[in-house]
Amino acid sequence: MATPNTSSETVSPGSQTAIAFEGIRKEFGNGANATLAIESVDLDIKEREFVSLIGPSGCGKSTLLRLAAHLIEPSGGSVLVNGKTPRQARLDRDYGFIFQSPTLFDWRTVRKNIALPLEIMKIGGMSKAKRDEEIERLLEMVGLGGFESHHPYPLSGGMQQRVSLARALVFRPSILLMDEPFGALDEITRDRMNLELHRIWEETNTTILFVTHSIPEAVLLSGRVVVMTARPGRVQQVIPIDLPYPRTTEVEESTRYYELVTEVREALGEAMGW
Amino acid sequence: MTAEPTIEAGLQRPRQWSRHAAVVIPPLLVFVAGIGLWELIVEAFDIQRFLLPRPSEIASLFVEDFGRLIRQGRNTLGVAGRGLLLGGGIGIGLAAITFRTRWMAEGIEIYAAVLKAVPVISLAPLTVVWFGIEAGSKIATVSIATAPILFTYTLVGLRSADPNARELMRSYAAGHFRTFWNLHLPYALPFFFSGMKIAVTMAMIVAIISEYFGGSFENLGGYIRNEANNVHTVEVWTAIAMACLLGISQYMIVAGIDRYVLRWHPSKRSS
Repeated sequence: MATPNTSSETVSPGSQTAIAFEGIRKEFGNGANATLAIESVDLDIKEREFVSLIGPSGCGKSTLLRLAAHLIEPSGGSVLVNGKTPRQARLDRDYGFIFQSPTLFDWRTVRKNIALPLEIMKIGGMSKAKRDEEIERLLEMVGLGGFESHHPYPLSGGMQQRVSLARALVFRPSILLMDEPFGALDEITRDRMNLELHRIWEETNTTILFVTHSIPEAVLLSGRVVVMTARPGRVQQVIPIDLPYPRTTEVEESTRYYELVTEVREALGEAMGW
Repeated sequence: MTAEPTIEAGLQRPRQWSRHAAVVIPPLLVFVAGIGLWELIVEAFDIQRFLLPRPSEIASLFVEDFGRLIRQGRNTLGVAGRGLLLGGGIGIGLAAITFRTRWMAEGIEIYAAVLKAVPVISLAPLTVVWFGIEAGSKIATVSIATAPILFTYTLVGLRSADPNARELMRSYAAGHFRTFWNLHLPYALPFFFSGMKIAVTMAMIVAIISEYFGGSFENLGGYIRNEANNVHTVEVWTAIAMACLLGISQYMIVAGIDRYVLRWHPSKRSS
């Protein structure tokens, strides 16, 4: 995490490439049962960019995310994460992955859930007091101050996902890979989480690759929206989102916002052959 | 951003004692009624003492012989405990070693299933041949009976870890040991305790029956064998009562630990 942005004008992607997909192909299964999930995807995501992947189910958007995370291997083509192989980037803990389900450990308190990556990565040079302080700071940031001693299970879905977000931020990865993180939340909570995520992104200068089903969500959050086709997944169109920062409720009510939502919807329609 | 207030802070708890009473009183009433009926039947039909003694008589001898019964019970418990420790160690150890390697775990799983289906007690005379007439053979039989139970339960538990959580650990580049300790082990615990509840009871049963096959009289099985040969039915009943008492206490201790250790688990949370 670099220095926080102070003015809304400074939110612009860096010149370095954070994630580069080149000629990606991914098949699942073997032989006659093989299905082609992704075919020849080329996509560059710059440092500090917020890019959404959107498309119908089965378009391979989650697959792209999981390729970048080295949770799966491509059948062809190459992925570079911070200029390294995804495997090396994973070993270097360059990214934080956020699942649709919060994936918290019920036997740990909120504080200990957030501390999990630090424990596992044995990140040194941090006393316990310092670590607790850092966790409290993050909890404040995600709007969960005072909940550190609770267990996750009585918390609502939205609160649990905030814990999950704090857990991904605690080891300061330069990239966040988010797989429909708010997909299971109700509309109202989702709206608020979106604005919060956007604020956090501006504060922390991370690169975010965000998979979603929701057009308004993609437009509100992103610098670019990548529209994908289904079976096999290909990039249909990349739509730059020229909305002003910070993204607020006002932006959400602007004419330009509605124009962009329409543009993405039409691109999606084309992607699905309507 | 304020927190959604779904914490069940002000949750009204029904009064604890009345809930406990509802659990404890009905079975207690059935117990008292059953004992009363038994006493009445023996009285009414004038049943001979060596066939079915009165519960009151068993109770008074139980109190009188309590010291000796406890000593004998301790010996039986020692055999059951050491057998469970050995069998559990083998079962849990094998599960922990093999759960990541599908073909290995499945190879063992089949034999564990076979061993659970086999009346293990039929091996007791053989273990006597191998390990002698005293505690060794009985411990071995208990191990053979309990190892497959704990292997199966632990294996299922270790495999039950949430796939997302496994990927999360992978994304942290966590090593095998850390993944095992932080993820698989907590997931295995509820299954381990379910297995333990079965295994402690099984260990006690197998220990006592093994003791029927010979060796010292200074244990519950040996005492029952000896007194039954002499048609000392009341004595036999006191030993049975002690065996029941020990079995139930063991089970309750395991259930208590289970409840405490897994208080985070969905099945244990107080509403």
